[in-house]
Amino acid sequence: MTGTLPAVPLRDPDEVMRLSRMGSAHPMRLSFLHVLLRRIASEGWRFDRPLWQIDDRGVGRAVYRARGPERTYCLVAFAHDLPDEMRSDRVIATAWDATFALVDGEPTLADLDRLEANVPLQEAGRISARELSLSRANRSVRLFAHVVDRLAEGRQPDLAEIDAVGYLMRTTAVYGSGKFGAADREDIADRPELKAPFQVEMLSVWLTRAFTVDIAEHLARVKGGAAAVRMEPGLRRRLGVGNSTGLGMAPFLVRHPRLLNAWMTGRETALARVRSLPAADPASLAGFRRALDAARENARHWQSAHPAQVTKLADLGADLAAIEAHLATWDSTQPQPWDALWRWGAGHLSEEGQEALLSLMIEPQGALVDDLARALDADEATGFAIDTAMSLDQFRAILARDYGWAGGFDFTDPAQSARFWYVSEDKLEPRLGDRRAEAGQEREQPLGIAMAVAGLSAALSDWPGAGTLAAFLRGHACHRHTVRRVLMLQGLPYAEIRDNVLAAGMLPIDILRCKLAFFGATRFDPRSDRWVRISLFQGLPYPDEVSA
Amino acid sequence: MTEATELSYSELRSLVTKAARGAGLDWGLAEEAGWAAEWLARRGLPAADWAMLWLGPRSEGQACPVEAGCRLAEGPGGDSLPDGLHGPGYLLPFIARVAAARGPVALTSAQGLVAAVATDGRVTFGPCWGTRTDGWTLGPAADRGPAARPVVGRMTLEGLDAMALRTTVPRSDSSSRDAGAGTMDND
Repeated sequence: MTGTLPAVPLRDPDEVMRLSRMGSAHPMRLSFLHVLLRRIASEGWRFDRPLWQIDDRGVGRAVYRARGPERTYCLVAFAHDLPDEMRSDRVIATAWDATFALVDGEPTLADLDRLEANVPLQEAGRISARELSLSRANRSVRLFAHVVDRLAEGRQPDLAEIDAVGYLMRTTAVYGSGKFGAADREDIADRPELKAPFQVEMLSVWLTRAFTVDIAEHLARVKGGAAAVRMEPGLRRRLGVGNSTGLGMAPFLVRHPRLLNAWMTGRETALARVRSLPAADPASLAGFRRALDAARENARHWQSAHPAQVTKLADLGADLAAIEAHLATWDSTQPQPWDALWRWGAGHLSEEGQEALLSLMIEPQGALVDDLARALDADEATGFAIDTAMSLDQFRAILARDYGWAGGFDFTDPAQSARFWYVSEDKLEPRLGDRRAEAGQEREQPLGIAMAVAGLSAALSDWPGAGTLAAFLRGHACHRHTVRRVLMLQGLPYAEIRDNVLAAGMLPIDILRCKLAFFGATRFDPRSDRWVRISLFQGLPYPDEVSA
Repeated sequence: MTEATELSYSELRSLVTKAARGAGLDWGLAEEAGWAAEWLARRGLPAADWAMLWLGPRSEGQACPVEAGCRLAEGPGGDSLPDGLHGPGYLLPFIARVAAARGPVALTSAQGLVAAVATDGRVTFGPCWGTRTDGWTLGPAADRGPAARPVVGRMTLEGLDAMALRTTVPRSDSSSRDAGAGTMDND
């Protein structure tokens, strides 16, 4: 066959942007922590720990320094002596085992003192434009004690214990982007190393991971003296940083549609590029196999008690086995073999398995897809001012073209508007209420885009055809938010979750899983419909392993 | 809380958005308020204090500068502003949108210049700036470029001159005489 094979188009947003599929997302090589680690490796960043003032109770402060080609960042860690009864992962907690701030540059002693007076207080303290993030972590009591005890005795921790938990500490919040006084995202986003999303937060968590092992080894030395040993590197690698996340993270993807579009476009472009490849070279075939083996290994350790996730994990196990079996008959020498594999998967695998296949197919294709990491960020300011001179006919056409999906929900059915999102007064955190049973819907957050679009469409059809948006908005200020959104998101196919986040059966964990997969999180483990634990950096190198 | 707190721009924007919503603005207008707050703060203007000037009256049902600013920027509807708007600093970001579209604009009252906004959003306050609108209208202003030399109103100039004159000694016969007047110099 001669000539060029047609490029495979990107997947349809009506398929990609449904909650059930977003809730099946897997981490992949464009996930933000992998973007960070590739940059650190390729630029030869250097790491050290210039300060370690931790006493025999495990209380004190430490500094972890990361030196890039142009700038230095330091994680300042404060270790506390937290009574067990005060340990809570909820955002309403007021004390933690350790608290952290990522400093832009190197902290002076005055900075350290200032941070020591504020960082342990978390939300009740203030940081400054010199800091990029604020976070905290709690121990996994069982594994932490086990590791300290074993190391103190001169023995290595039990492999099964390590794998059952997977981390020594879990972060319960990592705040960046101007929160609590930190530097504004806009003012640092032009730095190449911080341009991709959440690089500050990922760097902070990665350095935190080193701290979690250091503090355990420190306490083992205190306890065991000369008999104590350090953790064996292979075991240490199996530890990530845990993370507990609740509803607070869910509205982000609705509030940052341009970012969501950039992330999804990056991932979907990567998939389309791989599917468009005319042939499969031996290296990528071998890489695919390795990725499949790793995924099966990961799936064996991935546990959850949540019914929805139990089903998904069963699907995933069966699907990975099916992929393995299919490889025996898949003709990797046919034209566009990856596309053939993908199309087989679309016909034979669950959504869970299909999205896993996506990650596996991208994994060995770094040369083909890694440049896409440069376009995962988004300018969220452009187009904020509404073009109110636009004719209503033109606006109606845009709405019909881009938001046809929103017409698929019948909001006369109470089940479609059963929920409402609000912010709790006590902790200023997002919550999900029952519209017909709970008070407060007059304080609803504007997150129900499908319902808002339905309301806007109805108002527009009652409005005489001619005229401009200016006239319409003057009579309908309540639709201004939605009008702006529609105009700002023109031409961005993956900006909207094409689902109804107010519906009775909606699972917030689907939104969380999508976002966490883009972070690079593994071991997604819902503890309820609204609360999950995950692991970050598990199996990946530590700073002292990549330092030149 | 007695001390002042330094906020990030995003905190200020988020705070004013929520406060505006809390004061009764619809979400879309509340977003405009948050945007305007950051716009002002990035120019060193007291966005939080100015917000407090109009949030209270707005929650009691009075008109606010964000709604008026949107009207102004989004026309049609003329360039006059309603009287008695509290916190008129929040008009400035919207006037800047007008300036970006139409060229430099000036807010004036019967007494003179209230404020001028250049196409790049630079704000110059005039002598009639105040805490409430009072007969304010918008009109074109000359764009004086980035390094504009000072433009001073007549009354101000006269006042300054009068004060400056106090550094001089009033004329007297002896001063005139001693200066040589009274004789011819062209001899």
